[in-house]
Amino acid sequence: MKTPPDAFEHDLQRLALRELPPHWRQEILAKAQKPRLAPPRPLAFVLAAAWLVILTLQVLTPAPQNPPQAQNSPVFAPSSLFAFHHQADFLLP
Amino acid sequence: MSRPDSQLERLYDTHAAGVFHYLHGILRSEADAKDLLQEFFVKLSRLTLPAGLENERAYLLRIAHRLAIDWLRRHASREKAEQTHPQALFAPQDDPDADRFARRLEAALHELPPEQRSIAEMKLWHGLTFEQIAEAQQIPLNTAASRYRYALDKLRGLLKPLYDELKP
Repeated sequence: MKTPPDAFEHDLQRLALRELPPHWRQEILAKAQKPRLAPPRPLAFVLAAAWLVILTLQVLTPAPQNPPQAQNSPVFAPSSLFAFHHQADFLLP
Repeated sequence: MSRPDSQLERLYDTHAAGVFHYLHGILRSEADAKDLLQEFFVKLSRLTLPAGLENERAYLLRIAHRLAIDWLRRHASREKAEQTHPQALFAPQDDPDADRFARRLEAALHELPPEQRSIAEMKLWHGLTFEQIAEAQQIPLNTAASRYRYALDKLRGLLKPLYDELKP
């Protein structure tokens, strides 16, 4: 919707807005263009939540009391036993 | 993604003064308006402007308007306490009569309620249509148009003596 301005509106529109102080330009653009070291806020929230979950699980999960024991003693292959005995015979007087 | 510096500089050169005056009109404090202008450009540096914008100024004023409303919410108690003097909205005029009129107009604008003043500024000095104003301020089209009419009538009344005196 565009209505044609009357004379009064037209006279108001002719007034130009004041310019900003020139030193603001450098100041404002330098701050706006400063590289961000921190991650973006949503990413920071996700990372924080992930760490919280990891820490919670760490605290809540009970540590195993004893390492699981093998049901049977290790079984050596016959060829390994033969090699062992052979070496023992060789080394021992 | 950061916007290339030259693009941000172009946006500053083209729109900073307009956005600042708009923010100043709402916040009524030059220091706050400058701080918010800084915030506005930090925000812009992280945004990608939509391709094929019909009116860049309208788009930017919509962002500025939202920032100003958030700012007022955050500083609600302080805002009422600060009733600053009329701002120097217009550039100095070479003609003394025109300059007198400009200063009187600044004072008259200061007397308008902020919601009327911001619409008058958008329409008169930023060249926005009522549709664009309504979209920027998230208000119905008719509200934008009627607020503008109220503002203009009040300005007309306040400025009439000087306007008639200066008019050839």
